[in-house]
Amino acid sequence: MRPNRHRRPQRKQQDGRALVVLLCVAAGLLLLAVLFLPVLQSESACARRATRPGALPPKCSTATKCSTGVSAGDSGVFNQPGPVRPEPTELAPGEDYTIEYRNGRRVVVHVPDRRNNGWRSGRGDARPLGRPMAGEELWVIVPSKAETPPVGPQYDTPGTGSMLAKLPTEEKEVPVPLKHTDVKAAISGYIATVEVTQQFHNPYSVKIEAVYVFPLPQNSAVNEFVMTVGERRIRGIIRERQEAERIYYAARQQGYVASLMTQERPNIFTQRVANIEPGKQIDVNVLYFNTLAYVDGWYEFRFPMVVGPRFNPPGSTEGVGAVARGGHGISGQKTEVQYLKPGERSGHDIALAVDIDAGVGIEELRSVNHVIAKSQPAAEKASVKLSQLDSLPNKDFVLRYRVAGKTLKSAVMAHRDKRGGFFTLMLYPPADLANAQRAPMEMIFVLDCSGSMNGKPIAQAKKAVERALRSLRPDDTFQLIRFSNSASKLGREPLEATPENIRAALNYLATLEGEGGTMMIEGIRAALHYSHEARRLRFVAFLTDGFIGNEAEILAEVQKSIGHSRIFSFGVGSSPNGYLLDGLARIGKGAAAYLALNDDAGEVMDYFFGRVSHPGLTDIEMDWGGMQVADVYPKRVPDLFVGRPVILTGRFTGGEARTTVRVRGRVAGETREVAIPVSLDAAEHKGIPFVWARTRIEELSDLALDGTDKEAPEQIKRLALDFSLMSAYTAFVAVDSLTKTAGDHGISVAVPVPVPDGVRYDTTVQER
Amino acid sequence: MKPVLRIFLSLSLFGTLLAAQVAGEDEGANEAVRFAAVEVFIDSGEQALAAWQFELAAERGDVKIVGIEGGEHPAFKSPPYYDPAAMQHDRVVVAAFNTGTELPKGRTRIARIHVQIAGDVQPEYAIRLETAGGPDGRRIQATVSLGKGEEK
Repeated sequence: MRPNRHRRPQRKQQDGRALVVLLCVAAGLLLLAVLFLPVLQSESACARRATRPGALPPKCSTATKCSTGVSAGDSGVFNQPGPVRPEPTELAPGEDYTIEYRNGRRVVVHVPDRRNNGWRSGRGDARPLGRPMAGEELWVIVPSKAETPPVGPQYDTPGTGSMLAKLPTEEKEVPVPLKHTDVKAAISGYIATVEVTQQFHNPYSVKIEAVYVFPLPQNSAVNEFVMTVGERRIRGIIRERQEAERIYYAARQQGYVASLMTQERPNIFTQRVANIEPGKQIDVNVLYFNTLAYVDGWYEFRFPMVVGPRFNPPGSTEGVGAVARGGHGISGQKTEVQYLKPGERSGHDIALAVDIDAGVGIEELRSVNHVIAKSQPAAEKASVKLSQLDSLPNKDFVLRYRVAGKTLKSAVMAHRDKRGGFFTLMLYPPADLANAQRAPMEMIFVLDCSGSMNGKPIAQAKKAVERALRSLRPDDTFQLIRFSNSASKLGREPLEATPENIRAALNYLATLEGEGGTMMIEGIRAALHYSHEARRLRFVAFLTDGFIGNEAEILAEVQKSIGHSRIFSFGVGSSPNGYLLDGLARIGKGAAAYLALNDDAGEVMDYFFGRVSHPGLTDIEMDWGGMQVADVYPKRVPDLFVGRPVILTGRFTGGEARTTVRVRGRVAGETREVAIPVSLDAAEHKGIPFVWARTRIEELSDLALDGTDKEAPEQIKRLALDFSLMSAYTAFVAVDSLTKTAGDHGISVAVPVPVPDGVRYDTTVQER
Repeated sequence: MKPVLRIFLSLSLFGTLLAAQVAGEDEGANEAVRFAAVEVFIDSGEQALAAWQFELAAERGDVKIVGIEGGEHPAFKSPPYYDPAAMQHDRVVVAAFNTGTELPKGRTRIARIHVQIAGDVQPEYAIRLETAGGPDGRRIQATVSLGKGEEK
């Protein structure tokens, strides 16, 4: 509603802004002077040891240079327990050391009594340290064994360690402005409608703005946003992102209660709630639709609960920083997640309930990561509730259920409204696909060995690769690539899968551990940047938690380099980055699978081999019969592999309500046709138009990855505005113009979250 | 580079970045905007009101809708839905229905529209009741009017 535009010169406000700017500059100068003073004072003492000025934290004055113990050419410095030794040349066998990298990350290592191929960490897991990664500078500081208590005070800054040096049961509760999250999901067919309520409150004595970075599924079509102030509920409005931000900040500054939801990634969102007065509560309710995955006989409903700590390549600013609670701004990234330190917990908990109406009998139902209570009022219906004993939001909720019938039939769901007709079609692979045999293959395993994979995740990934190596046939070839700060591989070229080579690979695999950064681009290039034997099918099994902040760069590289390869991604851990993993599989023409910490890694790999051991249905063409369809996405129908259906979604303008759709493709050089009877009147779901729009946005986003399609962002924005959908270019804003609080907007408080289950804080989170 | 010069450059850069951030966040706030609420009433006389749809536009003034709230009667307390496509064309189409039996009669507030107003021009709104229906699904006679929301 904007017939007129009137802009009055805001001289007074401009003057005020200039004053604020001047004050900020002065405050910045003062702050930096205070921060730099100790460094300047100690610089002369450090200069003879530090390879780069300013590299050392204040404790650097106790560090000395290491000439051995790390490989030649590495820049390293270390100290030993007790008093500083002036020029140590060897690490003492049997001693514990804390190693501090230049980025502040620390690990405790134990030097074994007998030198062998690696060190063992103080936590008891096998952990060859190898050498610092390229560009990473190694420091060993003066620990004594007494300084390594059971719960990591090493995470804290010197002088405050006692606060966290408590038994695990004595966690310190940190007041946070997010009290509770309530999730209610209803699954009908293979579409979920999910309502998420976030209860923000103010436990402090001053007015605050709450800022919460949280995950949702990567394919969620977020369509509704309601803010509740007391008894009043206000529906948020979808707007162009910058416009929504302007509205929100204006309301915030004037003291109005307001909220803003923005999308940082398709699976990461930021919620801001302004002007929460002490003791008051404001709820934000979000609704989304998404399609369920169907994996190897199981439907899978997944609700992510925490954003895993991301690694951002040097020089990037558009990533997602992982910083300690209170460390606002230290990552230098546009989006930041603050993490609770070990020994801290927040009062934020989560309740979750799922109602399933599968339409056919539910034979089996299980939760992968959580304790649940379940009931089954009818054969085709089930209700699941998260146990109150398992309400800590630190891992994905994964619910899998198997339905009756050995062979599932492809199913259409449709919806008509004033925008026209929309449908989704879940296309199952032909049943006899499993009878065909595959050609010899070249199998490339790429294993993420970065710090976030340390511990349980990498142990799971290694188990899976081990099973896969043992499943290769003698006429196959394989390669094993690891990456963290850089990538390296087992052989210069892929090796024949002889028993000797498999043994060598298993030995190499056993030495791999997780530490360092996640320069995934190195792993991608190592996997895709060389020619392959044309007679072999080339599969890349990419195992990672996906904890990176430069997803677009990685996906663009895959798009550019995929060639004849196919990527099968495996999301490892309790909270993997589904946006990256699904994207790798989608652009890599393969499929994604998820390997939770509780999963049987061997079973997941067996399913994978079951999939790649039979040729897929490729070069698929659709004959829509009597249906008049348009705008069907994905535009290129993905190949169908055993156990992996694909979902197509499109618009229909009319035609016959009952018809037969024909799917034609090629299997091992032969043409195959499958007929699917469809009925557009059979199943209705109001979420289908939004699923369609969300899928189209995903397709447009893929086109925009390399920056060549300049129109894609505008198309995404128009589509998102027309369908009231969250996107990178749109945002929801709600302002309560009747609730004006006194004073300005108060302070902004981030909601700190726990690191995901199985992920180590010390290898992933940046501290001051 | 000498340490003093390096520190000076760092400080200057930090100050500039901080100032830019402050300026960026307050960009919206520096426009002359204010917030207000417009209340929408329907008078259906003696007939029960079960469904309605209206279209609202500003004929004068620079107005943006920033929230939509429900009405006073429990039947229409939930925030009504709006047509997002219409919202992109400087007007809003809002609708709600209730299939229950406890329905309002007479004059009732059915919605509250929260708006942001830019500039000094006092907005003038045009509202059109597109439809009003009774519990039997038939169109009923009703009138629509606007009121001003009171700040708390």
